[in-house]
This record gives sequence, structure tokens and C-alpha cells, in this order.
Amino acid sequence: MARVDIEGIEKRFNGEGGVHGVTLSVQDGEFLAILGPSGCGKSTLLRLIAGLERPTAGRIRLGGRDATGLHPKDRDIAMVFQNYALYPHLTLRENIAFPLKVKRLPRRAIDTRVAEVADMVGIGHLLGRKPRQVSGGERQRAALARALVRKPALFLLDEPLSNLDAKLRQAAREELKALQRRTGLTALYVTHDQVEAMGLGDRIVVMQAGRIRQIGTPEEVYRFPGDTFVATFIGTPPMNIVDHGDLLVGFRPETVIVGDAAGPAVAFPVVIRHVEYLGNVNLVYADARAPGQPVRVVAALPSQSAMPFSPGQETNFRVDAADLRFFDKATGLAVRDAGVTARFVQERSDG
Amino acid sequence: MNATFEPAATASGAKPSRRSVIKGLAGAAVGAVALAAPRIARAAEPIRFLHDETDPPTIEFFNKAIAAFEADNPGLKIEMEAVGSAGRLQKVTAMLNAHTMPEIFKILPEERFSFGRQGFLEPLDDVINAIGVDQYPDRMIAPIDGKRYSIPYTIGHSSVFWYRQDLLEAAGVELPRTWDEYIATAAKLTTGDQFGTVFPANKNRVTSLFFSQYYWSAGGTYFDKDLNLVFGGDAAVAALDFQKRLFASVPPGVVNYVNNDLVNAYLTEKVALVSWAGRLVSTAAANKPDLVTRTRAGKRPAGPAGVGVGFANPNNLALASEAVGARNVGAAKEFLQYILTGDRAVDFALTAYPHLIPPTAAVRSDPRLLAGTPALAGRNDLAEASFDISDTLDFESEAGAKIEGGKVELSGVTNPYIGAIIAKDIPAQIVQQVLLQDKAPADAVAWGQAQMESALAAARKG
Amino acid sequence: MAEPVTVYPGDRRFAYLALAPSVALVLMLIAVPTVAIFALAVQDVPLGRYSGDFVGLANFRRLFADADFYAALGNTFIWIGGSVGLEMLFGTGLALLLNQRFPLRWLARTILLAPYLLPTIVAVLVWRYMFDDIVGIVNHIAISAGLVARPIQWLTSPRVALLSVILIGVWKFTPFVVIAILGILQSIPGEQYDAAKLDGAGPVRRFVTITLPHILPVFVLTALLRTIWTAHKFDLIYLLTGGGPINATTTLPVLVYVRGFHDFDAGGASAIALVILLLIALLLVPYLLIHRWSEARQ
Repeated sequence: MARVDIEGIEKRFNGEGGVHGVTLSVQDGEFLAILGPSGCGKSTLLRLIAGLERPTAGRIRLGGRDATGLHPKDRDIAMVFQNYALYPHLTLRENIAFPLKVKRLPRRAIDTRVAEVADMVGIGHLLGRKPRQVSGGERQRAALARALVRKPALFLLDEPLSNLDAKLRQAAREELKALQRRTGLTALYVTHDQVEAMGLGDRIVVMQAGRIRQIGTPEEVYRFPGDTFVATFIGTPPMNIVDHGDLLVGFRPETVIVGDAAGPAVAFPVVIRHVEYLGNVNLVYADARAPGQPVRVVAALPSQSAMPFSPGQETNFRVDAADLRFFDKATGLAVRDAGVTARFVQERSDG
Repeated sequence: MNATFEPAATASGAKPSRRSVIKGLAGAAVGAVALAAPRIARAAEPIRFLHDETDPPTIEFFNKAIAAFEADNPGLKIEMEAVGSAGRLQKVTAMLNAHTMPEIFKILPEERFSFGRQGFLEPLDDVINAIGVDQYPDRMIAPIDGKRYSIPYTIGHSSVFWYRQDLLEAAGVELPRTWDEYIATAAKLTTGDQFGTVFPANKNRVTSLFFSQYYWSAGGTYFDKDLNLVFGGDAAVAALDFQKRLFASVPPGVVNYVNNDLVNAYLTEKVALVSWAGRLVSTAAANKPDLVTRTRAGKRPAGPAGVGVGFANPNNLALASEAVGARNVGAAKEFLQYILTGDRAVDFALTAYPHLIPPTAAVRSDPRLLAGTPALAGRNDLAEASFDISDTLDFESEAGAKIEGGKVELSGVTNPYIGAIIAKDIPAQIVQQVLLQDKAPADAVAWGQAQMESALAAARKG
Repeated sequence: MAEPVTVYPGDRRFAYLALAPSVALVLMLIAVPTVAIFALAVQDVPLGRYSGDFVGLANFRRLFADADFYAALGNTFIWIGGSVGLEMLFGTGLALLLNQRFPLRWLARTILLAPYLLPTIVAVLVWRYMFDDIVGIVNHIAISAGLVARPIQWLTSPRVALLSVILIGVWKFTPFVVIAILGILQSIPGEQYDAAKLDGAGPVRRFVTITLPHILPVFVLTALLRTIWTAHKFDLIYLLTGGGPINATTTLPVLVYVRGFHDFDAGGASAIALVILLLIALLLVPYLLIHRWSEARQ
């Protein structure tokens, strides 16, 4: 069993950072993405789980056992670091073999496992090279291989793709997911890139300032964000948020309707500023009328469809009422009351 | 001009900053010359004076005397430099080679021969005659080839037998009169971190000096009256045996000792009997007057020859010749005469009383000198003991001396060659071999003889 | 690896001008005396003089027949081996220690670096007093604590003196090693240690696999520099013991001084100086070989 249960973890540092009151559970075989901006505590959380840091308070259970006081080496965890942490003077083969050498496995067994794992990640032909003699992507795969060679119960990855260039990242993402499916490992993946998190994670944990904001599947997190932070952090462009009294109203750019609506719709008066053509979508930037300052809002329309908007135009963004999301202005938390939607539609129709 | 940006061509490029570097260097050079110029101008005709009496009261005395002399002789300037005894000879040798010798400098008696013969020194007979040749002890004013190349400014008597009256009384022992008694008494007074006596065992002149006293007290001499090397024999072995047995009663650190360490050993009240100069008492008077009240002076224990022979030699000043860089010889002679006579001589002796013994009879009998210093009021016994240079020899006068039956008889022959042996610290090394390397005295003496022969050969050649 | 730098014509002249003072200084202080030493070593220089007749290798023959030379040679090897060995050992250990975080680390660093900054003469005077047989505090503490019964003759016993001098030298110059090794230690990425910890590597293995290969080039270079500088060292030894007792602490540089300025044998002293030069050149060889080997491994 490779589940992870974290209860009320606290880690205080002098100054910034740290983790506060984090509680979460990871299922066996799950790919959990931990997403958040820099300094939100995600790497710290990972290091706490690995045992490289000791929590100030709280418990960590690995596979049901209390592992809070365990040394990293006794936790049966492997980790891939952002900068790969390969030993520069050893060949890739020696690097990958290192964990097995420490465990004093017999030479034959080591060679077999190393070859196996190297083939799995596709660097079997590079084993005789030193890290600085191979490319970034190959180094990353070597780091992966070293982590996998121990057949750990839990796999931690700390932004492993952030040092690769964009093109490579895409391919690496696919391979990584395939690998995890194949091996069935429980994986915790830390990233600041929401595309990665959305693409890879079975569930996503959104963190900010040391706390968990929301845990959910990519769809849950995207379509039903738990607060304004999640709503604006996830999604490119982010959700549009407009003031409405003591509520905040949000709608995603792609929910702006051109043509007829399926159900009751709400209109947001806007003035179009400019249109961006991005190939598959057109982004329409506009200023929405709001109490006080106008608010910048964005609509995303498929470029195949008609473009009814043009700069300077005074018009409305119409959104299906079912696509509206409401947040409390004071706390930022989502408000899930059906009545609220109805009231809003009512008010808008009147006004 | 090509399309790439050429910083060297722009107004703020390399050319102007190179110019400013040159300007800077030139400015620095001008500044250096400007700073040095006054020095060079001032150094037109000063009289330079090099010595190694670095005691602060003595330095103060010199400064005052120089100021007085300059006031009386407008246009004459004296530049004084004081060095440590250890580095003096090196400095003098370097200056001799570079022909930058000061006019007046401190010279050891055994050095004046080779320096005089090589023309480094200006004869001082006129100055000595003006003061009076018979004012000085005969052996300390002996001429070389009819000329006198140096003039004593003090007598260094290194072998007053000082002792701690209180410690002897407490242990119920008498002052030792012979070597055997000395060894026994010293042993009795050696307990814990207290030591009966002290003598140096470093590779330096003072160790050779101590050994020589014992060697003479056993009846031996380095040379005979025909200036043949006769070092060795029973006397040498006896002296080394004596030092070896006495070694058990001296502090272990003597192997590193220089002159001041002997004084320190006494001042820190670690030793009971010590043969040394009046410096012991003058320093104690300045720093630990109470110790002086417990100090007495006695007769040196007698060796096998029936007498305890001491060491006393003149400390001399010499005048460098123009060939090696001296410039204002006439004025230098005037300054010499000024500083070595009259009130200055008395003042000088009082700066470290009773250590600096005036070399002239006139000054020694000066009432102001005999009154001594306030610190030593009522302790004329100490000054008398220090000034008493009977039964003493020095390196250049020992050749052919007859030491037996308790009496010391000089041959009157002055030895110009012994300096080479002392400068190489050969006697000191013999002592070290016996005391520290457990060599048999006879073997060490044999080694020493060979070393002395080769040193002599080189000296006679050069 | 580095890209070539574009040099404009005016720059080159300026560079020569800027170098000129340093080059002049080097020529004056190093080249001229070195040539002079070569010249003196083949001359028969009379006592107290600084030039003489040409005599080929006579000075060297005299030197190699001199028992004092071999004694000094032996002392030199012990001095270099003991000093550099201990400095590298303690220096690396201290650097590893100071690389950890602990309270008041800044204070520990300051205190540990102080000996290197202290002027030699001050250090020598202080240590001479501390090591004095009668009034020295080291013996006082040792006897009071019951460690020894009689005072130890630190600087006055032929058997102990060289060891004492080595210890004082190590005290003085270990901070240099600490600074060098600490610098390179701080450039090791912490992630490598994390990965090793997770894989179960203990502190010794982590040191051997991660730390040692990383610091090896700097370690070798530092040892090389310390060896050259220790081989030259004169002032510390001479001021502490003058080369004594007898010649227990006379190393080759001390012998040069004694021959040159006590015995006034300029030719003999120059011959010894050239032997020192040869010795250092020979000592360089193993270091260069190790350096080349470690570079190849990278």
C-alpha cells in the first residue's frame, strides 16, 4: 500500500515560507499534482514528505505507518529534483546504480536492473557517458531512472521539467504520464505550471502562502474553483471577475456566447479594446462596466466561428447563467447557493 | 568604419583613460621625488652613529648629549641608530661591502684587528692621547701594528658572582668557594621550579664567554704567547665536566638563552647563584628594588687552577675610514671626544649603574659616579664588586697567560686571530655537544680543535 | 569553452602600459636576485664579501660533504610533511564543520581565521612565552592538570622542538586551507546530498561520493601551494628557535640564513638556496601528475 496521509503539517521557518495546517491524502497509484506560485510551500511540503525537513507539528503516514520521525532512507521514497542532482564525476550507469550499491545488491542484479530502467526511460545507449556529456532531457531521464531503479513505494518529483525547453517539455510530460501508468507508482508532482498540473494530475492540490486552497480533479478545480485565487490561477486567460455588491461574479473567457443561449443568460456591458488572434482562438479584450473603475475582461472565441466583435464597439458579453460562479467579496470563497444565481439573473434582467 | 560598435573610437573610450593613467604615474613619480628631496638635501654632512646600547635610559642619555653637542656646534648634525646586539655584525658587514658605513660604530674588540688591517678603520690615537693612554687598563688599549683603531666607551665585566643571600641562609649553606662546593650548593638549592644557578647553552657569544671563564679557571688558554693554537688538554675537559655536572642545577631552557634571559632568570627569582654583569643589579634596581636588598656579591668560586677567572672586555667605538663610506671624519672625532669625557661619561655610566663601567680611571673616581644612583644608595658593595676587574681576562689578551696557584699572569701579547673562532661560536658548540648531545668532552674538544684550526687558516689567509 | 575576446588595437598598448609596473617589480624583486644567487653559488666568496672567483661546483661539493646539510634536509622533509599533512587534515575537517549551520557560526569562523591574520612576530612572541619551560602557561596548565610531572621543554629539547614548531605553524596556516576548502564546499549543490540521503547513503559515503570528488581539484591545489610556501618558510622557525636547540629545527632556509649571515659564507648559502629551488621543483611533480589525473577524470 502506498498511500500517503498528511495530517495538520506545520513547518515554520524564520522569515518567509513554510507550510501551515496542511492535511491531505493520496491514494495508492494516484498521480497527485501540487500546484502553486513560487514560495507557496509546495517544495517544502514535498521535502517534508521525503523526510529532508522535519515538521514543526503534524503527522505523516506512509502506507499506514507513522513516518513522521523516520529518516529519509527508511521511507522507501525516491525523488527527482529540479536540477537532477546527478553526481558529475560518475557515469550515468554509476549514477543509476548508486542506490542499489548503497543497498549492497549483488553486481549481477544491479546491472540487470540498471539496464531495465535505462531502457524504460530510453537512455540505454548513453549509460557510459558522464552527465555533462548528455543533453538536458537525457539528464532528466537519467534522474528518473535513478529514482525508479529502487522500485520505491512513493515517487516525488520537484518541478522536474522546468529546466527543459518548451518543445521538450510537452513530450516529456506524455512520457512521464505513460511511465507512471505503467509502473503504477504513487506519484507526487510539484509544479508552478498549471498546464502541467492539469495535464498530468489525477487530482490537483492548489497551494498558496503555505496553505491548501483546493483539492480536486482537474475538472473540479477548473469548473468549480473553491475561491478567487484558484479561479484566477488556473486557466489561461484566467476567469473574469466582476464586482457585484458584496459578491464577486466570475465567468471563464470561453463561456461568452455568440448567438443563442441554451438557458437564461446574463449580459455584461463592455467596451471592446482589442482582439488577439492566437491561431486556435481569438482573445477579445474589453472593459466591463462596473461600480468604480471599469474591469478588464477577456472572451475566448474559437477562431473557426464568427467574430462579432471589433475594437471600440460598445456591446455585451453574454454568459449562460449556469456558467456563472459567485464568490464572497470579503473571503474570496466560492458561494454555492442556487438562489444566488437566480437573484443575480433577476437583478441583471432588471438593470 | 564598420557596422560594429567600436568603443575605442568614442569620446569615452580607451584613449583618454590611457592618458590619465600616464598622468597618474607621472604624478606619483614627481610626488616620490618631492618627498625624498628634503631627505637627500638634509643628509649633506651628518655624522652617523651606530651602537647597540638599547636600554631606554641610555637612549635618552644619547639623545640629550647629541642635542647638547649640536647646540654647541651649529652646522653639525648627529644621526644615531641603535640596533640589537644580535644583528649588529650583519649590518656592519653589509655596510662595509656597500661602502655606506656610519662614521662612528660599535665594534667588538676581537673585530678591530681584521677591520683595521683591511683599512676599514680610521686610527684614533689622537683622541686617545688627548684623553690619556694611561687612563685605560693596559690590555684594553693595546695597539695593532702601532696604531689604535678603537676606543673603549665602557668595560663589560660579565662575571660578578651575584647570589641570593636569603636563599643561602634559608638552606643553611655558605657561599661556595670552589667548583665542587659550587656544584654541591647549586644542587642543594635546586628544588621544584627553583634552580641553584644558571649559565647559557645557546650557540652564541655569551655561551663561549662562560665556557672560556671556566676553561681559564682550569688553567688553560686558547693560544700561547707565540700565537699558536693550544686549545685542549685537561683544562678543557675539566671545564666541560664541570659544566656538565652543574647543568643539573640550571633551568632547562638555557639552550635558547641570550644575555637578557640570564637577567630574567634572576629577576623572576628562579635562580640563587649567577655569574653575570652589573646589568643584573641595574635592572633589578629599576624593576624590583626589594630583590636588590636580598642580593649580595661574592668572590667567584675557584677552579682547578686555584682561582676563579672572570671575563671583562672593553666595549669599543670605532671610526670608519673614508674608503668604506665615512664622510665627516674630523667632526666625528670631535663628537667622540665629547661623548666619552667629562660629565657625559659620568651621565652615561649612571644610565645603567653599576653595569656600565667607565673605562678611564678619572671617571671611575668621579665623586658623582661614586655616589651612584638613588636606587642603589647604601649598596656600594655591589658597585665595588662590579667595578673590580682583577683576575679577569678577555679573548684578545689571554694568549700565553699563566693561570696557576691562584694567580693570573698576562703575557702582554695581543691576539688578532681569536675573533675568527669566537665569531663562529665554536666554544659554544663544544658546550652544546657535551650538554645536549651527550658527547664525551674529549671528543667534543677534538672536534672543536679541528674547527678552530680551519677557522684560523681562513682568518690568517684573509 | 570560453569565447574569444575581441581586442581593439588601442587596448593592447594600454594593457602593456598597465602591466609595466608589475613586470618591473617582478623583475627587480625576483629575477635579479635569482640570477645573483646562481652567480654567487659558483663563486668562492671570501668571508664578509659578496663576490669572488669562479670555482664551478666547489660550493656544492662542500655542501654535500657537510653533515649539517643532511640534517637540515631531513628536518625540512619532516617540517614540510608534518605541517602540510596536518594543515590539510585539520583544514578540511574544520571546513566541513564550518559548512554546517550552528548557532554563533560567525563567531567560530572569526576565531578560527584569526591566527592566519596575526603578524608572525606577534604570534612567535606569544607562543615563545606560552611554551617557556619555567613561566609558560602551557606547562603550567599541563602540570596543574596532572598531565605531566615535569615541565616539557617545548622549544628547548632537541627531540620536541621540531614538533612544537610544526604545531605552531599548523596553528598559523590551517585557516588558509579552511578558507579554500570552505569556498569550494559551498558551491556543491545541496540537492545531491538530498538525493544521496534518500538513497540511504550515510555521512561517510556521502562524503566520498559527493564531497571528495568535488573538492579534489581545490584540495590538490591548496596542498601544492602550502607545500611550496612551507618549504620556503624561514621567519617562523628562526624567530621561534633560531634553528636550535643545536640544529634540531634547522631547515634548509634557516641553514641558508645561518651560512649567509652568521658564517658570512655567501657562496655556500647560495648553493643551499639552489638546492631548495630544486627540491621545490621536484615536489611539484607529484602534484602536477595528480592534477592532470583528476582533470582527466572530469
